[in-house]
Amino acid sequence: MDSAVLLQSLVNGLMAGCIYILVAVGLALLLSVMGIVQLAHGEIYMLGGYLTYYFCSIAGLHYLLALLIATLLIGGVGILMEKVFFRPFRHGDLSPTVILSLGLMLMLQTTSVVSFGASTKVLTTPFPGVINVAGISLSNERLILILISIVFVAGLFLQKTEIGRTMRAVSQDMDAALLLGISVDRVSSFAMFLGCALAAVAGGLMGAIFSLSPFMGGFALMKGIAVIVLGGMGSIIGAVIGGLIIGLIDGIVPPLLSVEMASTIGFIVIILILLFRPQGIMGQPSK
Amino acid sequence: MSRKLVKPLSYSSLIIFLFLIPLFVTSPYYLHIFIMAGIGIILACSLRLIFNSGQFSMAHGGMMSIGAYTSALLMIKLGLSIWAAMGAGAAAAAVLALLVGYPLVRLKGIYFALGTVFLEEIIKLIAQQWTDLTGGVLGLTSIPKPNPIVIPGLLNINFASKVDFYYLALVLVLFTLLILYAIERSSINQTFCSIKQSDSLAQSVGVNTAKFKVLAFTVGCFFAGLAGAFYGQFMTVVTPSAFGFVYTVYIIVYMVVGGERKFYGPIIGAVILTFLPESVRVLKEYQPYVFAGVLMLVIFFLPEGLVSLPQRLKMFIRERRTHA
Amino acid sequence: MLEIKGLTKRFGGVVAIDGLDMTIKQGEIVGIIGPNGAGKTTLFNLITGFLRPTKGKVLFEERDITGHKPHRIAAQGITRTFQAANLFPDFTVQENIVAACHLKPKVGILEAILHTPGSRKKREYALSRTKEILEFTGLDTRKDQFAEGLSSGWRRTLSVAIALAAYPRLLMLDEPVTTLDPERVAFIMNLVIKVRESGVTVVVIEHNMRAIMDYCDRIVVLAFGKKIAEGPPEEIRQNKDVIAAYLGE
Repeated sequence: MDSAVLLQSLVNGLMAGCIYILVAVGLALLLSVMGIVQLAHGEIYMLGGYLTYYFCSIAGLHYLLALLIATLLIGGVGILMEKVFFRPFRHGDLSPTVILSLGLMLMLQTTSVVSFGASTKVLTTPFPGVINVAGISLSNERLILILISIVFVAGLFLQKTEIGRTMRAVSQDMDAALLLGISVDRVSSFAMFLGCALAAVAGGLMGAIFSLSPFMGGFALMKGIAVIVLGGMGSIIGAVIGGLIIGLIDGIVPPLLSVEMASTIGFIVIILILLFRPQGIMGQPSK
Repeated sequence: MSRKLVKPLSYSSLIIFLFLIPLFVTSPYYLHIFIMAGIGIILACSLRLIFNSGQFSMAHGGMMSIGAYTSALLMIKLGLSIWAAMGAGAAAAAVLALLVGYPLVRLKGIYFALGTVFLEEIIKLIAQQWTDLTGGVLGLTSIPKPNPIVIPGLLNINFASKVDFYYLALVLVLFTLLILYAIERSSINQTFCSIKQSDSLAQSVGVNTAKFKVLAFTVGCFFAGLAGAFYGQFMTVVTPSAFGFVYTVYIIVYMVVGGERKFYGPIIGAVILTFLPESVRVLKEYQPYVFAGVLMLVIFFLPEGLVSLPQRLKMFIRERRTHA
Repeated sequence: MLEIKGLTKRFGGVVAIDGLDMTIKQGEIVGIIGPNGAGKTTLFNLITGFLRPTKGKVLFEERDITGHKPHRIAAQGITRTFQAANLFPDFTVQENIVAACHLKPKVGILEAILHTPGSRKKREYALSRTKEILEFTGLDTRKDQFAEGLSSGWRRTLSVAIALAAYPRLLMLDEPVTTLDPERVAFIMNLVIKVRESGVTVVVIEHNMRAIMDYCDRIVVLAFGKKIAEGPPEEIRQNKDVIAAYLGE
């Protein structure tokens, strides 16, 4: 295979991996800290894309600014969602949260269809001024840098800072955390903000690279779940590793074989790893 | 009238009424909805069996796929009769459930759920990729109609119209409910419920919880496969995306909105939530709002499902009276 | 009856149980005490199959049951209660005990679903045994109450009743009377005596010293995963190492 193509595929794969990581880390956060299944996570991602599109293409703002505003806005929406909908159901029965998030998913999807139309949209001139059109590889490099730094910072944040530690405490035992005086409500709000913000960024970035559709959320949700399953339930680091693996596969396989084979090989890899380590790469063994 | 007769009598009249419906409802469109409600009933009730053992399965859609594809393929490629094909479809789903059941059972709570989602995605992927066998993304089309049932002089059902499919669906629903109800009333169900309430306590008194959980999973998936096989017959087309993740979630919704605790909860949920979108069809693209709205309302105000409505109303009225 | 040889359990770097040897003779009431973190519940979990030992053996009536699954060990004749007094909250008291009669008579799956006369007879047997247990433990007046709504004293009694219903020859109670008032303590401990009289060997983990000293034949003291003393209550009461272990916590 042509080395330039190989390089390009690797870069593409890395880029895809970063997007998957962003979505998966957000989902994993919600899963572990709040104990909820957030089926609407994909729609948050989709909204991130659409809001960025709105601020950028329609309101005329610079792309990065649009991305930032969209992210913060959606993070805020996340906090609201947590307060109104999810708070009573934290770490409890799964059924209510599944149904709630399904309801949210339907509502968000419908809102998008109604506001922006059901057809696919292309984000016009995604990176005016930021990326030079010189060679595709260059523009992607910048992207990856942004993404990697986001993930890196988020990861560091979670490991070292106090809020990171409190989040891990809540994820391990909500009642114990309460007894220790940790404001579980604030931690949940923050986790929700962070989780949704990450997904929104991913959506905004993805929308710029490819296209937008009100139904792009499903793809993101599935990838997120696959990454979590591979990387280990409840492990943020696992999500990063899993996302990289799946992203690289999705980048390298299509030029070699086909796009469909990428998903298949991805799944085969996951199954193989699960056979030897059913808890995922970084997961805790169950029981 | 003796108390003992009331129940069987009302059930029999209900069943007779159901058999007579096609006499009043002649529009194929509405019969279609009835049939979809029937499929929903089979799916929601069989899912409830799995949930009763404490397992949050999201693989039901995938199991439908297995049933649909197996049955369709057996009819197309081997010319099997519909009865054998449907049975084989259901059996295939059950076998798969048995195979993946034991490793899956070791996962707890959310992670079991995620594992089943993953399983479903794999099934969909295989259906999309194994083009030679499954027709790929376009799926299988022109699935032959069910073989005519001919009892000379009495019956001649050739499945040319929706009415015949309605009766087939009705028979399948009754069959499913009969078996599921028998399980519900048996001591096996008590064992399932004990596992759901405390897996470790059940183990400490000698219950092989893994075995029972796999049993519930397998039986539940059997009926999912059956529903899928029928669906394929009815629509004459089977595609990979027909029974995806979203459909599975809908099945869970039918079950929870109807009420997980009672046997007939999922029945009510499936019926109401199948007819509801149709009745607000006029709203077109705003229609999902109504559906989602109903879901949220039920979750917040009637967490035990619609079956708890009479109870709740009684309590509400009683409270009003004491305050008056 | 029960023999434990060289039992060790490691969690990562932490050694919860360290080379423990212990014997339980038939018909005894043995108390197990020790400061928090000594490994008492871990020991129970290891014996009853909820944890697999890192090293060592557990022998019950001369048979090796090391590492067997909990339901198999229950079938062999060892049942237990849990520190958190696990119950089936949505079942009534009676249903809780019926559920515990699962092991005998064995109802086949097909049999149960078809509601054969055989299965119905077996169910009646389970119900009559449940009645016996309810009367034996004094729970018969509350048999239709939901387990969820019971007071803590009755919850503990119910959890003992559940373990008793599952046909044990060895009954292992994990803190059955901790934090209960003296009346209730006496009630449950007298129940334990009755249980022993009916031919069941009992092992009790407890923090309530009174209960242990007054009702147990023999006491085993654990600290940091090791056995630091063993003997009749009078000896243990005066044992310097035991006192030190408790004061040091």
